[in-house]
Amino acid sequence: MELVCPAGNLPSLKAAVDNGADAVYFGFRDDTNARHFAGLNFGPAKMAEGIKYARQRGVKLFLALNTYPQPGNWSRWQQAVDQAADLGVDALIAADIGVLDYAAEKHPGLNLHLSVQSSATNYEALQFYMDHFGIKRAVLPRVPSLGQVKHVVESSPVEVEVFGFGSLCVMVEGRCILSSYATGRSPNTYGACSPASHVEWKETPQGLETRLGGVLIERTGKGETAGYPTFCKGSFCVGGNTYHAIEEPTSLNTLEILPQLLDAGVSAIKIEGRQRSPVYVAQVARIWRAAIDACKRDPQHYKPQADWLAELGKVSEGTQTTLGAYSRPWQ
Amino acid sequence: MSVQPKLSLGPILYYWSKEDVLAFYERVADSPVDIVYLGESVCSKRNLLKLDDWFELADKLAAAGKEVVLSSLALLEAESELKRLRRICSNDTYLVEANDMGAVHLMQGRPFVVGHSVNVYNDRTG
Repeated sequence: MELVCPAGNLPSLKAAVDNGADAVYFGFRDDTNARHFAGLNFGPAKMAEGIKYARQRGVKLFLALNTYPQPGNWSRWQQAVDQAADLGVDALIAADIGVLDYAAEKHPGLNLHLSVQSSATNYEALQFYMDHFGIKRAVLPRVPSLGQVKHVVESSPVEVEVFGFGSLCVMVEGRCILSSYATGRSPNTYGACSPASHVEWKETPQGLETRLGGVLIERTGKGETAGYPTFCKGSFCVGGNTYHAIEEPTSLNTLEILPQLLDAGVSAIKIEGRQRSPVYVAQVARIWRAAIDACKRDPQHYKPQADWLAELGKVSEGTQTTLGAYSRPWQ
Repeated sequence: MSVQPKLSLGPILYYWSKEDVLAFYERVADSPVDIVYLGESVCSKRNLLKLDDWFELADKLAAAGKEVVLSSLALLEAESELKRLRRICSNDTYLVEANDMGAVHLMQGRPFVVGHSVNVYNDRTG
C-alpha cells in the first residue's frame, strides 16, 4: 500500500519525501490542476528541483492535471500533458476525457491515473476509462462506504487509491458548482472553490467577517480560527439559528480502518492538502508512514496510537475528524 | 431548410409521492412536449416508484406519442444500483440518458444521451 502525499510547493515536496511518502503529487502553477491557489504549485525551476529531490530518494512523482479544459483554453492542457511526458513523471492524474484521450494517444508510455475529479465511483465507470485510455489506477471520490470500496476494488480492472486523510467536503468530487453561483468560477474549470480574488476578510465590531463573491459566509469572534472560506463550510442563518448549515468544518481520518482498507486491496492512500503548510505535510506523512508500516507488519493487532490521533486532530479542519462516508453504521 | 426544434422535459428531480408522479405524467401525456426524460436520477433510496412502474409509464407516454428517454442515476455506488442500471441500459425500446460514466460504459456501441452530470467541457471529450 503506497502513501501518496501532497506537494503544494518545494518545501512541502521535500517534507513529504523526508517523512516517508512513497509518492508525491503536485501541479503546474495555473488552472490545469484542482489546487489553483495563489502562491501554490510549481514553476519550471522549482519543478525540476523537486523532481530531482524525489528521484534521488526513490519517491514517485504524480502530476495532477485534473481540471477540465474548455474550447478556448484547450491548448494549455495539451501543452501541460506534453510537458508532463517530457518531465518523465511516474503518472499523470487526469479527469477530463479529452485530456485522457490526448495523453493516451500522444504519449502511450505515460501512466495515467484517473483523478478523483472524474467522479468515478463504480467499477463499470473504471472499466470505461481502462478500455479507452488504459488507466493504471483510479482515485475514488470520498463518497462510497468501506463495504462499497471493497466491492469496487474486487471488481476493478485497475488499482484503486482512496483518500485517507484531509479536508472533507459534502459534495461528489468533480460535480460541485456551488461556489460558481457567487464567483462565476467552479473547481472543475478554475481549480479552486474560492478564487483569491473573490475572498474578502473584514474586521468589524461583531468579529472577522469572511465574504466570498460579496456573500457573507462566516463571522468569527476573537480567539476563533477562520477556516478556508467555502460555501459548504460557511455559517448560515436557517430557521432563526446561525450554524454550519451545510457541513461542519472537519477532516477525514481513516487511521482507524486502515487494516480494512489494506485487506480490501486498496493500492494507495492519498493525503489531501496541497494548500496546507510544509509542517502539516511533514506531520501527516510521518504519522501515516508509521501507521501503514505498523499495519502491514501486524494488521491483527494494529491500533492507531493515541498521539497519532491527537496530532492529526490538531491539524484537522475545525480540529475534528470523521470517517466520513466510509462508516455507515445505519446500513 | 429549417429544423423544427423539439421540446423536451427533464426527469423529476423532486421526491414526489407516487400519486403526484402519475398525475403529473397524465398531464404530460396531453401536453405539447415532444421528448420526456423519465426515471430517478437523484437518489437510489427514493423507491416509491419501482423500475417496473417507470417502464409502465414509459409505455403509456410512448403510446401517447412521446419520445421517451430513460434517465439513470447520477451517482452509482452499490451493486443494487448497478443492477438497476443494467436493466435500464439493456432495454431495447427506449433511449437512455447516461448520467454516470458507468452508464456510458454499458451503453457503448448504441446511441444514448449524455446527461448533465457527465462532465463534457470540450470537443475532444465528445
